[in-house]
Amino acid sequence: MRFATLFCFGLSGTMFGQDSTRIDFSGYVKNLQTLSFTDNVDSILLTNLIHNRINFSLQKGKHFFFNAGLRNLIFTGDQVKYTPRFNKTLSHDNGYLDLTNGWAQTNSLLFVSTFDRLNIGWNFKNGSVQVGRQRINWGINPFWNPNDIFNTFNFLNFDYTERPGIDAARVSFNFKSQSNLEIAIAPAKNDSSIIGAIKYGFNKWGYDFQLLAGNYRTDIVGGFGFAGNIKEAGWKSEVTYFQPRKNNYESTGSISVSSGIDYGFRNGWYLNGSFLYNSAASNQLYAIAQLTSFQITPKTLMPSRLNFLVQAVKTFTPLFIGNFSILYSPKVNLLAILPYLSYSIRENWDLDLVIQSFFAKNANGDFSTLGNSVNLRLKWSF
Amino acid sequence: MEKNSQANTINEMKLFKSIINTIFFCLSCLLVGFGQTSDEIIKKSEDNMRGKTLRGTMNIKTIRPTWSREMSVNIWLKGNDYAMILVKSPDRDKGITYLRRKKELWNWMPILEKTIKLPPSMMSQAWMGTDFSNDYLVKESSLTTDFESVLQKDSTVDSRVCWKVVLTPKENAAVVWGKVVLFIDKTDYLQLRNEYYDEDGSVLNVAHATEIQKMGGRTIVTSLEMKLTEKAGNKTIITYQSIVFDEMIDDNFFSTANMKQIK
Repeated sequence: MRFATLFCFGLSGTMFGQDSTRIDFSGYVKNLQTLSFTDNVDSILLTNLIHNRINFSLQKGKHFFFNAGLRNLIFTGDQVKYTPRFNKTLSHDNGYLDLTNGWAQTNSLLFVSTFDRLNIGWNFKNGSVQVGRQRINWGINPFWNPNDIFNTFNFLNFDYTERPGIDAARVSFNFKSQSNLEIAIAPAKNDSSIIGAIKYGFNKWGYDFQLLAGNYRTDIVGGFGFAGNIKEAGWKSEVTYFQPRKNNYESTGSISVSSGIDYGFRNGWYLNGSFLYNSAASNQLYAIAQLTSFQITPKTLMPSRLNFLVQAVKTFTPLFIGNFSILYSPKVNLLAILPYLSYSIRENWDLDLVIQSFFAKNANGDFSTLGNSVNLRLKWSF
Repeated sequence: MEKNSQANTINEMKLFKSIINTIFFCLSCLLVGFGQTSDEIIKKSEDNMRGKTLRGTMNIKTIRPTWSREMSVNIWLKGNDYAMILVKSPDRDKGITYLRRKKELWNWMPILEKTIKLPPSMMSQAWMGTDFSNDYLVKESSLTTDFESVLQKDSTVDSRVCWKVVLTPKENAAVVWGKVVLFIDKTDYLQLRNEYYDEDGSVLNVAHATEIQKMGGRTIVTSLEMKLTEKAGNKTIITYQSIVFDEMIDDNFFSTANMKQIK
């Protein structure tokens, strides 16, 4: 019900359109077919996802704005049938507000809608205020973002480009000389889940720097990040330190650090080498779900403490892009091979082939398959 | 998806630079000069082609033997140091924005709500298999610094009488071209045809003005075609829809904060 009310509220935004009102409407429809299997090809799971996204934004005069992002997802097939709690997990809203509704849930079908953006705001001379479900993106690196304490995401979840939003209030100030200050707070139903932090960003010596401090659930956090370059190569790093609030003298803090170097070559190649160290990780890998689960935190972005990733991207033609990544986590001996091919069929029509294969050393010391998924996705943007 | 976005970023970034290249090229078509030396003509053109500021909309069509794609962008330039480009179409890429402040380059990806700082090596990449390189941009903006120029016998392009200026790289200049030849219209001081040669003297790229109009209060080349001579059927056509010169644009317009706001 609340869902419906908010949706109506969202639409009502269009009603007070006047001269200075600007409305933008966009989105896409995707069809994603996924084949999942381990070594045994007889036990292939076939799942289909029809994924529709609608973005709506309204700007009234210079100051007022409203944004909504609605996802409609229709899952059918084996994963719905065989994954424990599949329907329950996906039709549950993790936010402060419940903006998710499951329209149909059967043994083999799930139709769910969720607002991952629903916010209003006000621009003032040197900044803005924004309240509601929004994305507060403080990350710098492409894969692992210890600084992204509000909207932690799993880079292996390739189909959720926009990433989840968080119910929060945020104030931003922009100063001259490219510096800025952001204060954000995300309330929670229990005190131990509140996130609130302040971030200061500035540009110096050709680098973008940021410093952040605040509270992440049960921890006090302090972080630092930058994006700059070493000669012609790009260099991006993030570090966040987490100190548990309760029993400080007993609990040890933890640290998440990520860093990466990237380079674009004249012949259309692009390379990125990155690592992540997160000291709070368990260093134990039991199941593939630990990697593909969406419940990661900025303290534990990966199950292994140390992780390396090398990515190579080649633009074969403007229409055809190949992308190949290898992930290796030494302690747990995890190896992931992640090829990705993207082809533009025609304007606003894309066809992607995404393969994810995970291997780990078994008790005998041999690499064995943890899981594979082959994904074919057709996307129409509007 | 970040990976794919990164790939898109690379692609778009390449496009950005090509657009900048093109803008500078188009503006360089405003070359003026009355009996000056070739260096003076080029110098004056380089001052002119940037104006104090520029705001405009343009269409970029990439053509290949079996396909073509079109893109529409809004651009803002201030002198040599600041540039902003906003992609308006196609729908897939709408809202992607690029910002250059001196040597620094950023990309705003609306779909990720993320500002990405791009490495300098991206500045020197060729883009999208089309007909521009980034060295083209850099060298285009410093022709008198890196090249010795010589006026040759007048020539005719599209029935217009032109100065023919031949540029050869100065010693130790880090340029990719072995030679550049400019054909500059003697009436309106426009670059009607530019030829880019490799070190062996073979022509690699040819830029050709295909439309001349009065726009933004100046007579300028409003459409040009860039062809790769090695690959028949490969070309890029750039057409200005509108241009406003010398409008007041504050330096702070070219900020990472504003990059997210402009529409």
